[in-house]
Amino acid sequence: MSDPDVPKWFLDLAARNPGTRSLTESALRERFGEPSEIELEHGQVWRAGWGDMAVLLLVLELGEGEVRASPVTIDPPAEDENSFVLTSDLTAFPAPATVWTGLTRSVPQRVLDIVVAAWSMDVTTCLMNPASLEPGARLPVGVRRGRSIASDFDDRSMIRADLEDDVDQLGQMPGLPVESPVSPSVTLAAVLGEVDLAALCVALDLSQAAVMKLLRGTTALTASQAVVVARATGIPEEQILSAVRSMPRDLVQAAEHPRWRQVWIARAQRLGTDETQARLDGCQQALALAARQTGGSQTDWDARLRRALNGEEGAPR
Amino acid sequence: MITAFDELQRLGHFGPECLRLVRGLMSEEMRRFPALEPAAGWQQADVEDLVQDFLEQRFAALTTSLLTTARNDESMGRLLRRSIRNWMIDRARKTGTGRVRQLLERVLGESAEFEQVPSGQPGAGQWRLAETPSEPWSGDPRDLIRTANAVQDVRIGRWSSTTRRAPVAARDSLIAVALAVLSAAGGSLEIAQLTHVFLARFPVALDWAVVPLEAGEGLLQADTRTPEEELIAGYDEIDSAGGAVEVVSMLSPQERALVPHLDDVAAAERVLDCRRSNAYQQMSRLREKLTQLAGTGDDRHAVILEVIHLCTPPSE
Repeated sequence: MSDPDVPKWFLDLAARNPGTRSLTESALRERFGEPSEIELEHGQVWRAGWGDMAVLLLVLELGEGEVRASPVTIDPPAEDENSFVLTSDLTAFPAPATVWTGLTRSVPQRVLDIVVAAWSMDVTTCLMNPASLEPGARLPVGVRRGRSIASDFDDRSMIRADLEDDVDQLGQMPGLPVESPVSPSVTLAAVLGEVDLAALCVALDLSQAAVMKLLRGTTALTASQAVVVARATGIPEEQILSAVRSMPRDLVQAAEHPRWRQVWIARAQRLGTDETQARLDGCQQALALAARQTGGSQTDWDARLRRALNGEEGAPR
Repeated sequence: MITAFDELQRLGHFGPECLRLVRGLMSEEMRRFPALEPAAGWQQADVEDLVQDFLEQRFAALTTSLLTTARNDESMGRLLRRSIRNWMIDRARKTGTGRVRQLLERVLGESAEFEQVPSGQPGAGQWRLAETPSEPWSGDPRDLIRTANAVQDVRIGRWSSTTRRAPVAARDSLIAVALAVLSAAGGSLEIAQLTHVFLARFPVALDWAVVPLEAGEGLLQADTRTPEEELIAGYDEIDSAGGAVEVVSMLSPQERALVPHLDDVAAAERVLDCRRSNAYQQMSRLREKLTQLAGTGDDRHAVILEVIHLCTPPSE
């Protein structure tokens, strides 16, 4: 750090606080394994986020495609009467952490990024159902109840409101459309009915063979292609998207597991698209692969995704 | 060029890029807190001082938070800005606490109803009702806060735009509350205990957002005052109570825009450009602020209605 713009006090400060190197992504991967190999468990603290929003979450319960989790903050220092403050020897962080059990929510697994800590069963069990704890109940050593926020003018009330908004927004991050028994997924050909193939080729700027693959569903229809098809055929875009893009529930659950998150993020960056589209395209690849295969046994969608995305950056092997 | 996020992940702690990012965000955020602004205006050295103080106090927790939580440069900037803003609010509130304490000491010292316990007696230096021998009080502060809240006809002092700080109660109301609290205590109180009770009774005194953000160069100039002018401005704040126009003048432009929508969270989200919980919190805070600024006099409802009328555009 020989930058002349960096003052001595700053260098001294950094030297006095060396204890955070163990929290870099590379150190976390060494400790907990590659994200592609991770199994979700309660007691894990995950970095979660979408776009420019990022929150730490303590996983309390696992559900189908979602987790019940409480947000955790380290800075700014804040707490309320429904939260618990944990000392650093319980958290593996070099600073106390606040677990906001009053803001516990169900969030989709697709927003989980990387494991940053795994807390003891003792602590996690205590935080899973704080309402059952009597006001004077003994808490694990190193855990204390948060202090209440006395007034709306206390800045901690704003910190809590911002955090609540973030967690609520995480719960609304777009997922893949899931096909239901009453509205099974159909091919684009079925949605469009009689179609002017030549006009569609021109509109999409694709060969006839490529358009046929789209019509049969063996190639993924992108959102931008759906817009073009809607314009060319006069069928509403939403009708086209909802019909041809819904996926089997098991495939959606497999693709939205955090072990695939880094794959979708890397794919979105590489292709200049967003994460949802990257995930959708990957699933349609797996779906197309399944459509070409025979056999009556239940589909292992995780294995199909591995085959369809073999060699992609971060993909599980 | 390496980004702040990449640098943090590579080093495991702050480096030059992170420091640059903190400096940039600090110089933006500090302008939102004119109450903290030095008399001569913000200088580059002030940014450096603030950055140093901020990092000295928050370094370990901030680094941990950013390393574990940030997922890219955008989220790191957002988390860091939130942390800086919170730290600045904390600083503004500490300044406000000191000001309330000084104000109380001045009012108590100038009023014949109060006196300081002479040296050599138990509780020397504490405040008590005049000519009442008493022991130092040692009860539950919540009892005193309840007493302070029960005092009727409390009026908030007129806001001095030149100090650009939140108002406290008018002088006669401060005296009435202090009389009630010291009577209930039945003993002498430390000035810190009294300050605690007054801040619980008048939390708006520490409202950092009371300062209009459009305070421009004119007001900055107005703040370069002599010590005598400071004293006069301080008296102005507590010597007359304000009406609806005064209350409106104490609101930021954003708060004035929010006043007509205090029952409509969707409209509040639009006005404040924020999400639901944040909008609810700001609505609740503004309601409480209006209640406090309107005082507890018989005309308080009329004052609030007039404030709403003054803040509502003619077309609505």
